[in-house]
Formats: sequence, structure tokens, C-alpha cells
Amino acid sequence: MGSFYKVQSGFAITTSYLYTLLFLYAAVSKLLDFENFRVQLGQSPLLSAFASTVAVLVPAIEIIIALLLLTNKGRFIGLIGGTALMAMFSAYIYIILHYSAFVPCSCGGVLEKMDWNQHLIFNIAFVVMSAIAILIIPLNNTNN
Amino acid sequence: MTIKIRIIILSCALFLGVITVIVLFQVSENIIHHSNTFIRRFPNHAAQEIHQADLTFNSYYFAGAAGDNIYLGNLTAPLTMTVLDTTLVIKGKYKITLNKTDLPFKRPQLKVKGNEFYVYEGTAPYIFKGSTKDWKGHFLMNSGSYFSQVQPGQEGDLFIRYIAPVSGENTIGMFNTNDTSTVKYNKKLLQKQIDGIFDTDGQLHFSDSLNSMVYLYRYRNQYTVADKNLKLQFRGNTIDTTTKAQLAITRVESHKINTLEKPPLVVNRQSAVDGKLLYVNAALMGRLEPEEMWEVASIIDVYDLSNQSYQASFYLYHIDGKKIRSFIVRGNKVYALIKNKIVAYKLLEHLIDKK
Repeated sequence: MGSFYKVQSGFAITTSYLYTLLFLYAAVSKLLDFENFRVQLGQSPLLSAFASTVAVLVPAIEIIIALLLLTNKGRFIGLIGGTALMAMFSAYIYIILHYSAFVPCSCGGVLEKMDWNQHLIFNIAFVVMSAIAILIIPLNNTNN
Repeated sequence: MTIKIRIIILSCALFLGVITVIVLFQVSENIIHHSNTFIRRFPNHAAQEIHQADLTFNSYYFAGAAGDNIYLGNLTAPLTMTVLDTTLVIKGKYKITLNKTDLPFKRPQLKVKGNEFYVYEGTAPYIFKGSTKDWKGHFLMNSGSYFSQVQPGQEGDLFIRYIAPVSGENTIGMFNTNDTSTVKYNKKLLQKQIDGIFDTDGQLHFSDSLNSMVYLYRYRNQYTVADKNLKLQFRGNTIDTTTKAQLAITRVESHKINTLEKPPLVVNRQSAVDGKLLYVNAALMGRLEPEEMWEVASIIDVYDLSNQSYQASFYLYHIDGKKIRSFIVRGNKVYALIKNKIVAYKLLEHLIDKK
């Protein structure tokens, strides 16, 4: 177990903490203004029909993943879940930008300051980070 | 765990994430446009006010629009036609003269279609027709039943909502003004749910691009489209969920009248048809909608009649707390009467799906 192992482990843990921070922040800002979030989702050209369900599911999943990422045992699963969710968000933005009849405005907190393109890049950066983490994270159960 | 397995897991996660969103998008689009569960969609700043003019009186109503002219009738000056241009500047006021004056005139109404105008009164009943070039009305007919609405079609067709003798039920009929001897009726176009009088109330329109009449019910979420021979083309639904008119009709024996026991549940207020699009001033709030907007604006839903789909909705703001009285649409312009004002709005293109 040399310094390479430490770098790999450190990267995975840093990524996990960044994800936890992002997801908790996103979930809390949605829940704090839940009514508004629900209405905005209803206006989303992509999810209108499922807005009520999605409005509950998304923050719930974000919190579950954020908590998983804080534990050593759950980190690998959490990274996979986080990557999938972030990929979903990226696909969502991509579709809104390219296929939707109109572009709505709906995201909470600081993230509101970003335009959709910046948002997309931000999301993809996160996906890349967690993808690398999944590939290099040392897993004790298989290594031992 | 080998790197191979990790790559497979990672690819699955990415793939599933992206596919889920794409499927959700497809299904959601389909539901919103074709089997909407009463969720409206409001593109930002869809209707923008571009002109406003003070008409001094609130007794004006829309008689029609043709070319660059907007025609207004006036309830308190029944035979005067006011013509506005598209920037709402009054181009002229014309006095209509009629070639028959021994009729029980009470409240004549005006309609304009192309270069022709109509003067009619369904409770007399009579219909005059003339050209907008000289504003001289020629008597067409006064035989037949009483009627309550008139809508000109193409080539002199005239669609009429008759009041059937004895039963008093609303019945759609039509005739061509070049041959007034034969009137066609289709008693099955309007579907009776309770009494055929109140419950079938609605607004009669004409769609030029479909060459068909359009009838939108007031108390239920349905519209009916029929061709120039009154053959049923299709019945479509608005996004509201009220399929049955909710009216409590009661008979007052002492006065021998049928009347409403309590205020009816209005689904569709005013409406307009332009080209293949139906515009409805909705009366009921949908799901997931900002409630406070209903205090400050009228909500207009847009439907594409050619594929019976819901497109989008937009707001027309109240003026001094007063909502729109009526409105018409010409291309990408909406004209609305609010209080004693007329207001023109420009519609943004993204109201309609890019296809």
C-alpha cells in the first residue's frame, strides 16, 4: 500500500465529499421551497406529467446518496448512484437545450446563477470525477 | 474487483441514467399533448403587450377581423361599425344602412368575415348581409327558428346555433347565403347531457384552415368540429377534467321556467379560433400552477385542432383589476377588450411546438 493507493483513496473520498455537499445543498434548497419547486417542475417541458412524483423522489434520492457517500461501506454504491443521477441531470439539461419548445428557469440557490450551458459543463465535470473515482477507488473487500 | 467489472458497472450507471431521462421526456411529452392530466405549461413572457387604446366606452364587442382591419360593434350604437388598424388606431366609423326597416329591432349584432358583414338578431329573427365597401345591408331571411349565435364560414356559408322549436334545445344548422332556401341541421352535433339548453351552451367558431366549424362547450371540457356540411369531423377535449356539465337545473312551476339552482361550474369562458388553433380563456386552475397568477391574469390555453393536442398556455394580465371581456386572435396577435380599452399582444413563436 504505497502513496499511489493513498492518492486513489484520497481522490475517491474527496469526490464523495463534494458530491455529499452538492446533493445535500440541492436537496435542502428544494425542500425549503418545496411548493415552488413542485410548480417549477410542472412547468418543466420535460417532466410536467410526473412533476409531483419527481418532486419528492429527487430530493429523497439525493439525501440517500449523500449519506451513503459519507460511509466507507456505502461509498462505492453511493458513487455509482451519484454518477447515474448526475448523468440524468446532464441528459435532462441537454434535452432542454436541444429538444424542448421553450427553456424554463428552475434551479435552486446558488445554482440559479448559472445558465444552462454552464450548468451542463458543471454537471459533466462531476460525472467525470465520480467516473474516475469508481474506476480507481480501492475496495478493501476485494484487495484483502 | 477488476477494472473490467468497474467499467461495466460505470457504463451501466451512465446508460441507465441517460435512458431513464429520455424515456421520461418522451412519455411526458405524449401525456402533456395528448392525454393531459390537467397540467398547464407556461412558456415565459409568451404574450407581450404591444398596443393599447382607450375606446371611451365598455360597450364594444368584436365583430371580426379581416386583412389589417379589426371590426368592433357597439351595443349602445348597434348599427355603427368601428374599424381599427392593427396598431389600434381608429380608421373610421361607419353607419350601416338596412334595406328593410319594419322588423322588431331590439339589439342587432354585427359580424364581419372577409369583405362581408352581417347584421342579425336571433330573437327577432332576421339576418342581413352586405359588403364592407358600402356598408349597405340586404335582407336575407326571417323565416325559420330563433337562433342565438351566428358564425360566417367560407364562400357565404353561415353556421348558426338555432333554438329548436318547442324543446328549446341548442341545435347547429347552416345554410349558404347565396341560396337561403335550404337549411341543413345536424341535431347530433351538440350532445345533450342534462337538458340540452344550458348544458350544451358554448361558443361557435369557424376555422379557415380546416374549413370547419368549431363549437366549444362552456360547462364541459369538449369541443366539436364539423365540416361545411355539418358532418362531424371529431370531438376533442380540453385539458380540464370536467367531462360532464355540472349544473343543477330546477323548474320554477309558478313562473313556468327552468333555471339554475346554484352557480354553474364554468370550464371554458371566452374562446377564439384562428387558423388551426383554438384559444380558450380557461376558468379552472390546473395542477401544479402558481395560484396567485389567477388573481392578476386571465389564462389562455392553446390547442392545435389539426391533431387535437394541447400546446401551451399564456397569461393576459388584468387592467386595473378587470379581466378580459372577450378576445380574438389573428396570426401572432391577440386583441382583447378589457374595461373600456382594447389591448393588442404579440405572441411568441415558442407557444407552438417546433416540428
